[in-house]
Amino acid sequence: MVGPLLKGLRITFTHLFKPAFTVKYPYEKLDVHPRWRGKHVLKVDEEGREKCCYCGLCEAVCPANAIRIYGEEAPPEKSDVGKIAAIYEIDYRRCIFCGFCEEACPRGAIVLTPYYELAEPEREKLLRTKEDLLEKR
Amino acid sequence: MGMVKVTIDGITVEVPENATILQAAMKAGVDIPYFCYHPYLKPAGLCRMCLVEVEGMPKLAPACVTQVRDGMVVRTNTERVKKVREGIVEFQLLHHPLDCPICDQAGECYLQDITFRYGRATSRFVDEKELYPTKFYGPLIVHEQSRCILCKRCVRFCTEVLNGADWNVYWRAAHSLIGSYESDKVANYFTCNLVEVCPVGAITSRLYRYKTRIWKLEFTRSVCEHCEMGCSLDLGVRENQLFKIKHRMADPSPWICDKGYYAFDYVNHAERILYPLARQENKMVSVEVEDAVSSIADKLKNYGEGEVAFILSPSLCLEDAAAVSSMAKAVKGLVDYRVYGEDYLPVKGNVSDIEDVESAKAVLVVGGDVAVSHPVLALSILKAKNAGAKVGVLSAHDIFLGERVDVFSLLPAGSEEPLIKELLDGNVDAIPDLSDEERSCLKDMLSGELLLVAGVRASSALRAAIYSRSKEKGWKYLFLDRGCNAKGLYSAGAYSEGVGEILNRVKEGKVKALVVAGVDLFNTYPNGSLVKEALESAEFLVVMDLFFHDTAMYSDFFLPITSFAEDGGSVVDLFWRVRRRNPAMQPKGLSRPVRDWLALIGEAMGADVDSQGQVAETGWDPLQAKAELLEVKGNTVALVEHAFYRSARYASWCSRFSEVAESPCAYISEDDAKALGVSDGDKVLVSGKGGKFEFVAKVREGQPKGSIVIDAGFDRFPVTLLLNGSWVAPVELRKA
Repeated sequence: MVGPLLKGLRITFTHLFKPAFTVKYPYEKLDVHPRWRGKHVLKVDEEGREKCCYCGLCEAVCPANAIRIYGEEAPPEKSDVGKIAAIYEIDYRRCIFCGFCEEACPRGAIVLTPYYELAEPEREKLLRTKEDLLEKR
Repeated sequence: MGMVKVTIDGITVEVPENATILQAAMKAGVDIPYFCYHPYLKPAGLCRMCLVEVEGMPKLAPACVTQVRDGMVVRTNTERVKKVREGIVEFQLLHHPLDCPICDQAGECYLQDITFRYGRATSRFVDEKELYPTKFYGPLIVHEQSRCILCKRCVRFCTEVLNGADWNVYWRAAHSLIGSYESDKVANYFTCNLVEVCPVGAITSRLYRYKTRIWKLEFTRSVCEHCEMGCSLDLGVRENQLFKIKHRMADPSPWICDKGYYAFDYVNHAERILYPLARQENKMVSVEVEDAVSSIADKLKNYGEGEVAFILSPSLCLEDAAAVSSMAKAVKGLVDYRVYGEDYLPVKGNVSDIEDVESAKAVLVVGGDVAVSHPVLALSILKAKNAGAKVGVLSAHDIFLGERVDVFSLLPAGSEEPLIKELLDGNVDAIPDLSDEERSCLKDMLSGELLLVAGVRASSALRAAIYSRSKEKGWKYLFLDRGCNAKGLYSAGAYSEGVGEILNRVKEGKVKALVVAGVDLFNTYPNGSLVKEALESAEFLVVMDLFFHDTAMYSDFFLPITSFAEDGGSVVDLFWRVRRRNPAMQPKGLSRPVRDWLALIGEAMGADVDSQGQVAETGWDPLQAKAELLEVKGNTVALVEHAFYRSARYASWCSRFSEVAESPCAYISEDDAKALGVSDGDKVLVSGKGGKFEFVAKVREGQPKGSIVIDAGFDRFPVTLLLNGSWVAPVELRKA
């Protein structure tokens, strides 16, 4: 009866003298994998035109119903095909970071980045609009 | 008709002997893909997508144009057919831009579906695709030639149904292009059908362009509110916004008009009033529902018999009308719906269905532009013509139907009705400007079986004449009313002496409180100055509507009501059939149907408001009409008519739709134009009783001298000021 207890304690004590696995998170950060699925970015091309043309596939494929889009006509300096998303919202209260949106996108317009620090003090702020999501150049 | 037995993929079906293989396959439940076949257009055999193997035929046969034979054996699931389908799809996609991500048709596109089911995964075409720029034909339709598969459905619609319109194929073979020869606008009232028949995204609606995706919309079946035809519509709603209207059920007609298809975006308009308003110190301020209801109830309670009047839009639903009638009874008030100054009530025609119109032997349209008031009926009349009927149009104003029929004359606006009366009495020579051929045709029509269609402008006296003459001769007759539910309002008893009488009594102070529901009287009643005086002298005015229009400017209370998309009411159509609407969306803000407001007010007053409407068994008897035929004399007589693209309900708030009618036009005769020295497109001034208005002159062939037709319905353009109770008035015409 004492045997298993001692066995457990031995593991505990050996780990006390080994280096820690964890890091002091807000001060130190771990490197994540480059293909980590974190916050979304709406890409723009070399000329600053939005890639997203609201085909609606990400919205349709999203298993958590986290994406909401409306489209509009756009001038050539904003889009090479004349159509952009007027509203593009991702609700991070719902998003499960499955990456299906990225997979479905025919134009590589939506990409999940390794950026994972999405926590917010208020729930409403987790609803990210196009302004937050659009890639800055 | 004999029936024959056909076997398709082992399934034997019995079909009429003039059926095609495709129709037989539909009956057997065998899927044959097609692009160019349309159930209401003639088969064309253009796309070759429906090729099938027929036993005994060496080559594959196009199913849409091959007639069945008894004992025919058809196979659609063989290797050969599969290979051909793959080939056809590959050909169709040769120059297709494959821009489904931005195409509005994606999700309901035949080409997408058929490629997915029958096409190859890859194309072997390596050269550069031939692409064309996008073309906008007016504010309503967008044409993308690159996406076109040349099925010619749109062109066939224009030639077969519209009997010719400026829309055709030009160039040849692989270089064929679809489009309009002459203009960058498609100018007819049925352009939406081009969008509806297009199986791919080549012709799309500009209203819906890029806004949302079709699979996000939830469709609810409803009934159109713009005229009495009662076309069944499917309203596409997303997040309580109406985005698209589709016409999926051929009821009453497989076609639809631009009003029904495009004039709906007022439902989402930002200017819509969604909260009750009350006048406080000459300002309208938002108030609580309870406060508004109790204040209105307190006010209405104080009025005695005949001191309250209700004026309703002829487009309110039957239940609303019943509620208003019962409220009017409770307060012993007056009620009327004839806001266009009509002196007639709905007459039950002896035509029971649209098929009776389409199978008529001869049709004569008098007293109104049917294509504006009941557009789909005009298409049915054309269908009758194409089936061999003689069709005549005798009217003071006509744009669409007249130039497509056998007998057409533009009558002088002032003496339109006496001339038609003379014609009905048998004097064909009374009608001016007819060729001998037309005259003899008209004589034939009058001597045989005839369907007389009385337009919305025809007064009660003319209606009485038509009615009695038709009874005498055994003709069929059809009387048209304004608004989408005049028959329903008549059934609910929502009529008294006429709106003109009510307004006069308000002006004289006999009627003190007025409730106006769903209508801007300045736009509809043909005497703007009377409306103004009446509204100014009304002690208490409640307006129930969607928008804060000119009539609402005078109101003490404004109650927001629901649009047709939010309300499940019923309407009575031209053939006295009850059509029920389904609510497609939640009421916006605090808006609610008229009947609900009245129920609340009734409750606060202690009156019982009943909204159970019954459809009347019989119509009004026009022989009771006491009025004289309308005759207006003067050097220049003007007929005021709402332009088609301004005649829809709430057209001012339908942005793209009303843009088509750019500026108000005056149709003048060649003689008058010469005398004034104006030509097409010049400005003319029309002055009359209530003011001066500037119009763009349109010189029209056949327009009688001294008679003009001017457009109404434009924003901040109250031409009703020129009128004096009827839509025809003497005016002065000058060059601007």
